[in-house]
Amino acid sequence: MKNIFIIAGRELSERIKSRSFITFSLLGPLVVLFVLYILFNSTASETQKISVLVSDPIEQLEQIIVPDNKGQITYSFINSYVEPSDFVESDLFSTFDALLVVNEKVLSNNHVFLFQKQRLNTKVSQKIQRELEKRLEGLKAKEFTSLTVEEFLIVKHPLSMEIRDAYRPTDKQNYRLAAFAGYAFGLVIYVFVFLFGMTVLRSTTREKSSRISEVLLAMVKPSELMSGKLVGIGLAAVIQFVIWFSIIGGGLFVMRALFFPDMLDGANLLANNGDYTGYNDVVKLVYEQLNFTVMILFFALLLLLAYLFYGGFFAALGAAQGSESDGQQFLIPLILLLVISIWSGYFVVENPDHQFVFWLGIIPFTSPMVIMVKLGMGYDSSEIWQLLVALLILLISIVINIRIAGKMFQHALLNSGYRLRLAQLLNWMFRKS
Amino acid sequence: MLEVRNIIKRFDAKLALDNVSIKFESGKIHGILGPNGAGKTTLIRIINQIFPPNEGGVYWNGKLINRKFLQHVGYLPEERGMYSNMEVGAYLIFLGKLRGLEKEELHTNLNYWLDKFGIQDWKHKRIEELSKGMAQKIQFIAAVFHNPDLIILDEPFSGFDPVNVKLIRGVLRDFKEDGKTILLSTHNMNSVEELCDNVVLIHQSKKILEGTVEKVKTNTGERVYAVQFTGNMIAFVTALWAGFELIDKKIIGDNKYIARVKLLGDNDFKSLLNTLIPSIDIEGAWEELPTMEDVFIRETTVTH
Repeated sequence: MKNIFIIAGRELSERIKSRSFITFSLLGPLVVLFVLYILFNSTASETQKISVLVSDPIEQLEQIIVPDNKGQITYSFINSYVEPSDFVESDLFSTFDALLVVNEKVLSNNHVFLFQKQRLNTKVSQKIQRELEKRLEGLKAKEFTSLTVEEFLIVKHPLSMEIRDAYRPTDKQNYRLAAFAGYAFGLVIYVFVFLFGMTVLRSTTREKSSRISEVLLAMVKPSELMSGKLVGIGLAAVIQFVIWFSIIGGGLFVMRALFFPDMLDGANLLANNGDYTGYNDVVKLVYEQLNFTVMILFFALLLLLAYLFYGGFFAALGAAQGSESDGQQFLIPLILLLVISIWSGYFVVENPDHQFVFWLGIIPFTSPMVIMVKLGMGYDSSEIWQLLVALLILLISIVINIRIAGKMFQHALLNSGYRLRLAQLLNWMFRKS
Repeated sequence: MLEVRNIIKRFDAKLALDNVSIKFESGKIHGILGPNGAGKTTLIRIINQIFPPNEGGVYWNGKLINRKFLQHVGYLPEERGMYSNMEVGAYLIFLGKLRGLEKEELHTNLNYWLDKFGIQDWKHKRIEELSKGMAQKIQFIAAVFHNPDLIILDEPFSGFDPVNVKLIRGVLRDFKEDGKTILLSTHNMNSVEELCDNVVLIHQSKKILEGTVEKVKTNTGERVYAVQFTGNMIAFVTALWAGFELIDKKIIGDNKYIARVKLLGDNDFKSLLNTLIPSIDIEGAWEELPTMEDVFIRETTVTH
């Protein structure tokens, strides 16, 4: 046991002193914060002021389009045709951002053009379309029916279907978005498993090709060497995560204080019946809906378990390579397993009640990802046993895996100068120690 | 004393060691010789418990060794690597820790060995900055850093200049004086003759020869004598006639030669002299023992 810690200490020291570790630890979370900021601000972009010139030669609209009460979009009307080239070139129109051309037969052909000087935000153009549509509906009601506008709107009002959990009918959470949040956590787990798994593989291959493995194996057991390596590199991952979460956590707190201050304001909360209506779903999800304590605890646990589960394979594959360039083809199935696991998370998000979800949730290759997605959505009390069974199977698989990987590691580490073949790999895997 | 008893080691269908038993006494340097692929490295790895034998065992002072014993073993493999990005001091301390040294011993031993080799200023150098010879020195120190009772060195002199070879030989002699058991696997027969007390020759997975260097050289069954003489070489060859065989000759001056002669049948040194005296003027004659290289080549080219 002592030897495992000595080897782990060396591995850890080598990792944390490397420039790439420091760079990834600091830059990684800053990139995540930047992406979150962009996501959060997809609402803020709606506050951009847009001025639209409406070309309505026969004044069908009667100079009326009612913008929403935020005053983000203002409409000005002109009762003549404006060519797009004039719109761009003439000083008269320099203050306008877009030209909306309403043709004479718009009530029958339902077709208009919007010429934009610069690409408008999709939400803004959709809003313009919606507001014009609303105005045209009023005109159509008047033209083609005997209904009042109000009556027409009642007839026309689309059906709203809200999907809720039958067991939690009052729960307003956005499960799909929450599942994606769980998926994002799972994705991070698999990205880190791959990154640190590759570190284990490269470190083992380097030791093998530099022949220091023989010096080490004369002092420690192969299983100790492999475990020490896994623990050391795993600890480096943990340290990196602590740095990541500290920076991201601190960044989220600062962002809330700077960009979404009224979320902290109780008066605002009361005024909106407990709903932060001003922000988009991602903001609400991150600050309100996710149970971060549970998510982070399980994230840490599953990261550790997934790393140990896959790490043994990476170490064994590193030991099995005849040279640093050899054995790449055996990495492909391993990467494929990681990709399938990532896909399984997406599958669960899209099909939470599919019969495969149960199996994907307990197969150790995919279970860390599926558990994270299901945690995002929230485990039902009747499903807790599935979570426990999945964790148990994962633990047992880790023990079996490390034993098999340890065997490969032991038999392969002192062999070199060969071309790695599957038969050889299987021989090492199942040969007696 | 280290003893390997009836070791058999197979790798799948290949027999790497075939019932090998050897005793390595303490306070002596033992040469482990053999051609490439003979099974030397397999034997050394079994002693180091890198892998176990299929049959037989390794004993230290009569007791079967276990993994704890590895703290008393120093091992310098032939293909030795280092962590190139580590500092010299940190590397030696890392290996010392794995050999079970306590914190205080680690620093005492580090300073002792760096002082002994006059390389105290290398302590904070990264290993990748060292030349091949410098790295070899560190590897040797790493093998003996923890003052082991059993020292196993595989080609320890490769890559060293003559000055450093002398230095390492001196250290090995000191260890021998201290009663350590030293196993030296090498193809350098000069080193074997100069350093080793005993040798064991492994060939085709079997032990084929064992004993002191002198005994191994004299027990070959060949009796070769060198004769330094003045006279005619034809007369010398004619005088030998049957019962002797001229191996080679060297001209050392005008009509002056040193010839090596093998005795055949029942002939002895006296009969050689009696045969030659009437024909040439003998200035000197002495027995020529075969070199270890001769022994090695002869033993490994005959089929056992």
